[in-house]
Amino acid sequence: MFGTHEKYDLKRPAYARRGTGFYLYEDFYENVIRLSCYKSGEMSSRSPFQFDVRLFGDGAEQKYEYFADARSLRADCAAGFGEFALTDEDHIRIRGTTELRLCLRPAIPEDGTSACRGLVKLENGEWEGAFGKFGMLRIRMLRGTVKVTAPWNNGTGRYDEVTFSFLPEDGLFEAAIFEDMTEFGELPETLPDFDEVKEENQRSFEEFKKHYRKAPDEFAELAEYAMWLIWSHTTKAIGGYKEPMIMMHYQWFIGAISWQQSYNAMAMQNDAKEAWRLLCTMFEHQSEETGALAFAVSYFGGAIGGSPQPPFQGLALTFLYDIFGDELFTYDGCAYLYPKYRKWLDFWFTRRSAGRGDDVTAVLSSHEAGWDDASIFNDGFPAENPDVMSYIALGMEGMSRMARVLHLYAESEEWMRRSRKLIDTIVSEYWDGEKFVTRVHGKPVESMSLVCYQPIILGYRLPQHIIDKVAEKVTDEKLFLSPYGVTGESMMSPLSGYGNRFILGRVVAPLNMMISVGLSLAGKTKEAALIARRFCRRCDEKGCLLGFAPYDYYPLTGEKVPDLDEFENMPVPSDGWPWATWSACNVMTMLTYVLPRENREEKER
Amino acid sequence: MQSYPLDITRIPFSCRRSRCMVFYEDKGAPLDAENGLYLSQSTEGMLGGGAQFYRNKDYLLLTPEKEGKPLEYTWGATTSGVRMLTGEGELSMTFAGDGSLRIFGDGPALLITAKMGFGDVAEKKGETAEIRMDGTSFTMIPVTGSVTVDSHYDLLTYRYTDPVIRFLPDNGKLEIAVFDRSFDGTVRESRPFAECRAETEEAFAAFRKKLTGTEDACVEESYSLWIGPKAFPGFEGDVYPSNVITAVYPRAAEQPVLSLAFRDTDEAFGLITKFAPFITKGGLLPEQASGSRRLYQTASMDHGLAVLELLANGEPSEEQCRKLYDMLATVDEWWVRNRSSDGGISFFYAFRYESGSVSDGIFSAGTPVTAPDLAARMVLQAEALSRLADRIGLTEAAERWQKAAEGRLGYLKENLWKDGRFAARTAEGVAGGVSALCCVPAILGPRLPEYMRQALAETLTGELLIPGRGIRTGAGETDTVLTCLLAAGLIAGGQRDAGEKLLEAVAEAEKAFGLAATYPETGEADCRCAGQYTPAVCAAKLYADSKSR
Repeated sequence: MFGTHEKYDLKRPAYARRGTGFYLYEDFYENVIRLSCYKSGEMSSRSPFQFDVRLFGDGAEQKYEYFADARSLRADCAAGFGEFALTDEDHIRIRGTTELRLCLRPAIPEDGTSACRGLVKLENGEWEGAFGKFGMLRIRMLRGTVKVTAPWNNGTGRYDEVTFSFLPEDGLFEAAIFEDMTEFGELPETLPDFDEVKEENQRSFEEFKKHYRKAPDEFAELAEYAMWLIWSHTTKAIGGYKEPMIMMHYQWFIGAISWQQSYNAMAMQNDAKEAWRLLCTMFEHQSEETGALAFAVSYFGGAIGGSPQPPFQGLALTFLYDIFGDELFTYDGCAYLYPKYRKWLDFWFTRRSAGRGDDVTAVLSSHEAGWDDASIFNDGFPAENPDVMSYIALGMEGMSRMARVLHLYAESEEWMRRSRKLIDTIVSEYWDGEKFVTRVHGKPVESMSLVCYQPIILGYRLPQHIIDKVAEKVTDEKLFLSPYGVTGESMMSPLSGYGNRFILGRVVAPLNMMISVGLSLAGKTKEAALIARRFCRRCDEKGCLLGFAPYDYYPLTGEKVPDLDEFENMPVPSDGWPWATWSACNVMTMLTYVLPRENREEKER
Repeated sequence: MQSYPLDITRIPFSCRRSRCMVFYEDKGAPLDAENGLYLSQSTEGMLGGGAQFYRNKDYLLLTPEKEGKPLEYTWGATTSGVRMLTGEGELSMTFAGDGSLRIFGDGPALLITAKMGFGDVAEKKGETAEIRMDGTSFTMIPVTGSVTVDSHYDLLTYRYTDPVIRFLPDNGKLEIAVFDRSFDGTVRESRPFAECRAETEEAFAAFRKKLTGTEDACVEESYSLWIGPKAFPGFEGDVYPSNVITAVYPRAAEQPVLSLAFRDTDEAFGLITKFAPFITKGGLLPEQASGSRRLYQTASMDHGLAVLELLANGEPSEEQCRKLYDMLATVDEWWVRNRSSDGGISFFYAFRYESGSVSDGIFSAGTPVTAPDLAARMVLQAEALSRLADRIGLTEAAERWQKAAEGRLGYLKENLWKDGRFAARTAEGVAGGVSALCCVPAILGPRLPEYMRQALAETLTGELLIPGRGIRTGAGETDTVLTCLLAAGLIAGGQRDAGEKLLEAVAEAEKAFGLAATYPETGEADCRCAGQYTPAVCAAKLYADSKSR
C-alpha cells in the first residue's frame, strides 16, 4: 500500500489506524520514519514530541526501506527489520530482529528535548515517560530489552537527548508502548500475539469498507486508498470525541471539522445507520445558548469555538434520503435530531438573518460559508450568499421529512413550504441569468467564483434553464473545467491563484463533489461524470490531496505560478501537500454515486 | 474612598467584574510593538494559548487624536482610573457597575488599532464596533459620539485587515462603553465618570478588607488579587489564573498559596477546592486546568501549610471542611500509592517537575529521589487532614492522620538530616550540594528542633539568598513564592531576623522590578506587558508580611 517502492510513500499521508493515538510518517527532509501521537493537537511542523525511527546493526546505523498496509509498518535493512502494529487500545506494538531506536527529535531544533519532562524506571521494569501536555508513555518489553539514554543537563533544564533503544534477545525483541494523556490505570497484563494484532487491523479495515458502495473498476485502487485514509483517521470515543469522528489530518488540522462529518456521511452510501450516526455527531457539540455547532472537535478541546461552519448537513440529509429513502429516518433518530436541527437552523434565522423578514440569511465571515477566500466575499459582509441559503433550504426539506416521521404533519408541511419558498427566492432574486449572485447591502457582488454555481446542489429542484446554464458554464474549459476537475475561481479571473490559495483558483475536492453531485441530481449525469472523472483521475495519480493547481501557469496571463512548489511539494499545511480525509470522502462520493449514474437520463427524485 | 497610584507598566488597570485590562507598554521593541497604552483582555484564548505576551496579539492600541492626527499625551493611573492628558483635552477610563470599561473624552477623539490574525473579525454592527480575536470579544458602544470602523476581509491573506477604529466626539464629548463580550443590547445610558469611579473605589476598598494586610501598604498586591479572578470553563465560579496576561490558566499549586491571603476561611478553602473536580479517577491533581487544556502531571503543593494556617486563624464551615478533607485525602492517597514504598511514611519524586524546580540540587543523583521538601509538605498535609478530620467529627481518622504526620516528621528528621543540613536521598546515596528545596523544611517552623531551624536560617540567609532578589533555585533565578513561604516559616520558627532578611530581599526586588514570580540572579528582570504582580506571588507576600508584623 505505502512504502519505499510503492505507488505512494508516507511523506504526505500519515500512517495510522482507526482508534489509534499513535501515528507514523516519513520525514520529508531526513527520509526517516517518525512516530508521534495526535492528541495534543500540535502540528507536526511545530511539535517537539516526535521520535525518529532508526535501525542499527552492530552499532552502525542502517539505511532502511519500508512497507506499510492496514496490518503494520515494517522497515527492513541489511541487519534485520523493525515492525510497528498500531492498535485501538492506546498502545503500539513493536518488534524487530535488529536494534531499533526511537530518538526524540523536535520539529523546531531549538525546542530540544523539551517535550520530555521526565523518565523513570518502575519497579516492574517498565519505563515511564512524562511528556507534559503530550501525555505519558509506558514502555513494556515483551521480549528483549530497552536501553534508555537520557542524560540530564542542569544548565538547559532538560535532557540532552532521549533515546529508547530496543535490543533483541535471541534474535528478536518485542515491546508495547502505551500512551495516555491523563494517567495510567491498570494496564492489561497479557497482550495478544503480534500477528493477531496485525490480522485484527486488517479485519477492522475490511469491516469499515462495507460502509461504502463499490467503485468502478478503473478506480478500485483509488477507492482502497481513500477508504483506508478515512478508516485510519477515525477516532474512537475518547477525550473530547464523544463518538467516533473523522479527523481531517493527524499532522496538520488535527481535529474533526464540523461540516466534514457530513461530507463523510454522504460517502457512506452502503450503510444508512453509520451515515446517520456520523451526520449527528456534531450535534453533541452544539451551543446551548446559540444553537450553533462548534467549528471542530479535538481531543483535548472537545468542541472548539470560533466561527460556525455552514449548515451543510442540509445537503447531506437530502442526499442520503435520496439514496436510502425512508430507511434513513428512524423514529428514534428523528426524535434525537429534529429539535437539535431546529435549533441549528434557528441560529441562522436569528443570528444570521439578512433582516428581510424571511428565511434569507447573511454570513458575517467567509468561514461561515466554508470558503475562506471565495471572491463572492470581495465586498465584505454581511453577505447574502445563495450557496449557504441552498444548504438551509435543503435542511428545511430534511426537517419536513423528519417531522413527518415524528407525526408532526403540520410542521412537516410548514417546513416544506418554507424550503420551497426559499428556493423560489434564491431562483428569483439571486440568479442574474448567468449565475447565482451574492449580495451585500442588496447589491450583487462581482465575482467569477465557482461558488456562484454551487446552488446546483439543489439539483432537480431548480428550473431547467438554470440547470442548463450551470452545466454549460462549469464544463467550459476556458472558465472552470481544467484537466483535473473544476477550478474554484474562473481561469479567466484576475484573482485566480494556484499557489497559496484555497478555492480562489485551485481545483478542490469538496467543490468538485458538490458540483458533480448537483449536476447528477439535476439530470446532467454526463457532465457530472466528466468533472468527477477528471478529479478522481488526478487523485489516482497524486493521492487523496485536497486540491490541485490546474496548471503551473496562469491561462489568463501566461505567467508561471510563482509559489506552486512551496505549497504543493513541501510539507506545509496546504491543500496541495498532505492527504486529507476531506478529499477521500469526496472522492468516494464521486466514485460511488456520480460515476455509476453517468448513463442515467432521468433526474434523481 | 481612596484611590491609590498604580504603575500600569507593571500591573494592568482592570476590575473584578471585567476581563478588560488597560496597561502601558514601555518595552514594546522586542515584541515588534509600539510603546503605548493598550486595551486587552484576560482570556484563555483558543488558538495557541490566548493573549500571551510574546505574541503581540489581542492588544488594542489606544491613541488620542484630533482631526485625524495623533496627539502626544502623558498618562496617569490609579486603582480606580486611567487618564490620558493631551494638549487638546483628556481621555479618562474607569469601570462601571455593569462591568463595562467606560472611556470619557473631553476634547480628543480616540483611535484604536490592532493586529489581526486568522479568524479575527473587526466590524461595525449598527452603531457599535465589535472586534473578535482568538476567543476575545470587544463590543465598543459610543454612548456619546460616534464610531467608524475601517477593516475588510482580505481574500488573499484569509483575514481581516488590521482595523482602524475611530471614536469621534460629539461637541467635544465622548463616552464609550467597552464590554468584554459580544453584546446585543443597547447602552445609551450615560454614567457620570465620578460615579463610576466611586463605585470602583468602593468595590476595591471592600475587597481589601477581606485580605490580610495593612490599610495603605501592599496596594498592588491587593489590587492583583482583586482583579485576578476570571471565569474559566469547567470551574465553578471565578478562579485565579496564574497571570492575567501571560499565563491565563489556573494552576493547582497556586490555589493554596492564594488562600493564605484571605481572612475568611470559607472563602479561602473554596479557592483550594476549585480544583477538586479535576482530580482524576486515580487521584492525580493536575497541575493545570482550563477550558480546553489539562496538564496531567502533579507536583508537591502547599495544601497542608495553607489549611493549618487557615484553621489556626478562622472558623470554616463543616461543609467546607468536608470538601477539603475529601480532596486532600484523595491527593494524599495518590502520593502514598504512587510515590511511597513504605505505605506513606516517606515519599519520592519520580520526575523532576513534581518538585516544581527541575534543576534543583536534589536531583544531582537522578530520580527517584526522596526529598526534604516533599517530606515536609507531606508532614503538614497529614497534620492538616488530622485537624480537618477532627473538625468534622472523624475522631479515629484524626488520630490516624496525626500518627501519620508524626511518622513522616520522624522520617524527615532521622533519615534526611545529614552533616548539619537536610539532604535528598536516592538509591545511590545522598544527593549533594546546597539546595533551596532542601531548606523547605523551614516551613515546619517549631516542629523542628532548634538546631535544625538555626542551620536552615543560616543557609537561607547565606549562600542561597541573592540580595535584592530572593532565594536562589537551581535554574539561575530566584523564586518569590518560595522565598515568602520560607520567610514565614523562619519567623514562625523563631528565626525572625532571618525571615525578615528574606522579605527585605523581596521588597527590594519589588521596588526595582515590580513583584515577579522569579528574578534572574543578575541583570534586569523581564517586565513587559504589565505582567508583574501575579496573584499567587502577591498572596504569598501578603501572607509573609502578615507574619512579620
